Amino acid sequence: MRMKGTGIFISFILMVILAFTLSVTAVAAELGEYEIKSGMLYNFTNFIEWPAESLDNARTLSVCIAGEKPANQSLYRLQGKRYKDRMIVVRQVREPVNAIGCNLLFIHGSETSHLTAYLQMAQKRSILTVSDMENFAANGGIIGFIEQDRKVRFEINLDAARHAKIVINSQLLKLARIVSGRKY
Amino acid sequence: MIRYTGERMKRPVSKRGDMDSYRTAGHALVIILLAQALVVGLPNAGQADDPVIDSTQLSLEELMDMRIATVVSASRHEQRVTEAPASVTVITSDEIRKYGYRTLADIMRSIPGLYVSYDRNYNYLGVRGFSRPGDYNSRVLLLIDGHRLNDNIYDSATIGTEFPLDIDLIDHIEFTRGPGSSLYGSNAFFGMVNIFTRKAPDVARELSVSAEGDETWKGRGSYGARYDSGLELLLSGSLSYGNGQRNIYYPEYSQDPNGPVYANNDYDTAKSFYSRFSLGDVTLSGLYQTREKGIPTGSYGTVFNSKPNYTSDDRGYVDLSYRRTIGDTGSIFARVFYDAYVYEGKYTYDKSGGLPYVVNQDMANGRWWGAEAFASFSPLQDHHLSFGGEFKGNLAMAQSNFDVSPYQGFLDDNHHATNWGLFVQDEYRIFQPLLLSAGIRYDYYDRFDSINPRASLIYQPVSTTTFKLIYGEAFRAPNMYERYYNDGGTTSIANPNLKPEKIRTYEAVWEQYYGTAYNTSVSAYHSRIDNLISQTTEPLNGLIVFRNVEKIDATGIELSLQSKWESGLQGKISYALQEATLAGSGTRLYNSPRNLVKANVSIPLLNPVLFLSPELHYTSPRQTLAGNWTKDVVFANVTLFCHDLVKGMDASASIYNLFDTSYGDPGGGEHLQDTIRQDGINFRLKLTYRF
Repeated sequence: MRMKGTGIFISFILMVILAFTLSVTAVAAELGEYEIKSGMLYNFTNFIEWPAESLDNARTLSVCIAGEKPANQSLYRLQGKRYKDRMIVVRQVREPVNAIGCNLLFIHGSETSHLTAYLQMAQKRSILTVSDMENFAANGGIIGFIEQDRKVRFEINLDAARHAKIVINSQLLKLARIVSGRKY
Repeated sequence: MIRYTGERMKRPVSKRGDMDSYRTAGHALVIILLAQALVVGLPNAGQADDPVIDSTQLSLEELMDMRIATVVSASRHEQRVTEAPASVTVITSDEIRKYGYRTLADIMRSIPGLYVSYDRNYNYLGVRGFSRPGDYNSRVLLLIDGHRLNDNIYDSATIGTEFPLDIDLIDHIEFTRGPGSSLYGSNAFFGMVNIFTRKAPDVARELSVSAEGDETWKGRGSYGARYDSGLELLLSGSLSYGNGQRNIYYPEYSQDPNGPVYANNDYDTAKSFYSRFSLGDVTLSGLYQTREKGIPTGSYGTVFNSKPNYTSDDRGYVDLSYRRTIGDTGSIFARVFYDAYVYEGKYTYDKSGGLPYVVNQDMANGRWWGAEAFASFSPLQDHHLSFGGEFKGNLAMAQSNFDVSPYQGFLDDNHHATNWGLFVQDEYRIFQPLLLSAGIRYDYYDRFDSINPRASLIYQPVSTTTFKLIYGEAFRAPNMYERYYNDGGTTSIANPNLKPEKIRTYEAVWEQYYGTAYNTSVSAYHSRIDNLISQTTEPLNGLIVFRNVEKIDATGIELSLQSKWESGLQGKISYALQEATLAGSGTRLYNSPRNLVKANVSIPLLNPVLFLSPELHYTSPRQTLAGNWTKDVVFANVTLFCHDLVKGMDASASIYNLFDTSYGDPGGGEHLQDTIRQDGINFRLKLTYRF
């Protein structure tokens, strides 16, 4: 009985190993939180149309990060990537007034005290606002990251996007949770 | 959990060579190493040029399917697995469902390097070759959302049906290996099990029923919601009843002149309730369970197959916590709690050489409250500092033992005591790939104190490769049972002067990610335990007393290979070689298997609807108290899991012990049986409806 069991056991292990070694085309099922978010941020740009007047003439797309530095490292991965025929430039902003010229603004959870100022600025200048602070979209932001079952999801506030004259492709809307909320 | 009555009958020692098992284990080891070599060799060509997983190359759908890889137990704040100063295994609710795990014991059994023994009353967790007779898992710290579950009498970490939370409410579990006293104090000796409960909106409304062999059924109803006000609410109640095995045959009890007697007292019944309210940064949670388990084994010299013979364990707590994140990396946390644990055992004895039998009642009543607070932030660039403190006030630590009728008291003991601890830890990024994590904690008890440091160096030359070197110390304070249990000198005497036991562990870990699909982990450790608290017999009068006598050496390696693919296929193979011996003599410990091999794979027959998940465990022979060796055990389970069978309905069918392997776990000193026979083939059907 034992030898039979051992035989089955070893064949089973061999089977599993075979499966392991044969599957080369695969994707990691776990990543750091901000690596996931920065990947998503980059993906978002492919589904966004900014009004022509908000884009500069230098053929860049300006991604700004409002807040402290340490967790931003992975957001800098967007640096040098392409949006249509433009190059993405990542920079950090410390005051709402510095957000002039940004096209996408990621607002860190630490910036709650400046939130209203950032959102007002963003709406006037067609800046796509993204944040992971709680109820961000419902509070007037455009895209809010939420966490569900240890996975990253996002909410979109369409009114806020419309007021900022930002057009979001329906493919992105399909993946999002649509919320209604305040706008500035 | 009762006094030790009557000397066990030692069976003759048969020196059965375990060469066969070594050979089998040898094969398994070769295969694992081969696999390791294969995997290392395979992606080598492209590895050097492409060290970083670039998340911007992934599609939005792929990213949305990605789980956030963080652990919190190892440093008391969120960090990536590769930056944790310990070897950590995470088990998710997805695995719990797909592999058909029924209890926390089933989950623990699937974790590399762990093994579980069952004596048909409680479940005993073995870690790194260490599972002492009469130890209710006091050397593992068990936490639910950070709340300490080990009680204040036996320090028990319950893992079977005696574990108070319905495992359907678990989101994921972190098992952190090695000493954790530098952050958590007592009991974080060999490792820590931290259980994270599901988020309220994720639960919604759920009804779940299951039917299992041996007339076992279970039901659960849960409600979870998030309201517009921001209030999150989770309420859940569970009921279970199992008749257990009928007519269990124990040859040790077959000498009865009237023919063999079969045991029919294996029932297991439990009720539990869990609730959680959170609003903003504040969370209030409460948990209560009562479980009663019939004892069919005739333990502690009770009359075999008589009633009443049962233990009943009630465990509950109320916990109020506050967590606030400050900036990107800072957080503060505070908690106050009130806990209760009540144990009652009724045991039937033949004290007069026939009827009427005498019912002996054994009781423990623990009540305690406490508070803890800690903060975690980055005061300087490249530093992450955590510090905090904990206070525990034991309102009652009562133990009693008496015969019910005619009344005769043997033990009536109660104590009040407080203890507190302070800790600090800094993680310093010396330069980009090198992280130093160092921490220390001071714990104060009424009769002793303990200082426990831990330091680790984490080197990550490329993001796919991590090396960790860890040195840590941990302690376990002697518990009330060990210090004060005495029954007036009938069988046991107290030893209030017990000192804490201490472990010093050196560990090296290598974690490697290959491409993006699989990862391996290799870890080697050596531990020395001093002043181990052991049950000893006084030579003069034969009474049982706990003393700080033994020294133990535990050395081992743990290998694991884990993989997840886009297709939904996932699997894990692990091997643990463990040598836990008495220092000096080199004698292997009781219930300490040398080799553990585990393999499981979840195959998507129809992704994401239908999964077939077989699982295999191999355990090499373990020595019993009488000096015999158990057989080596090959044990298999298989579960067919169907997601959304009809909208909202998950169904699963499981077969446990597929090969109907006949085996036993070594029994503790309270059993006449040298090994306790385990269940044969069994099944479970489970339906969960979410609406």
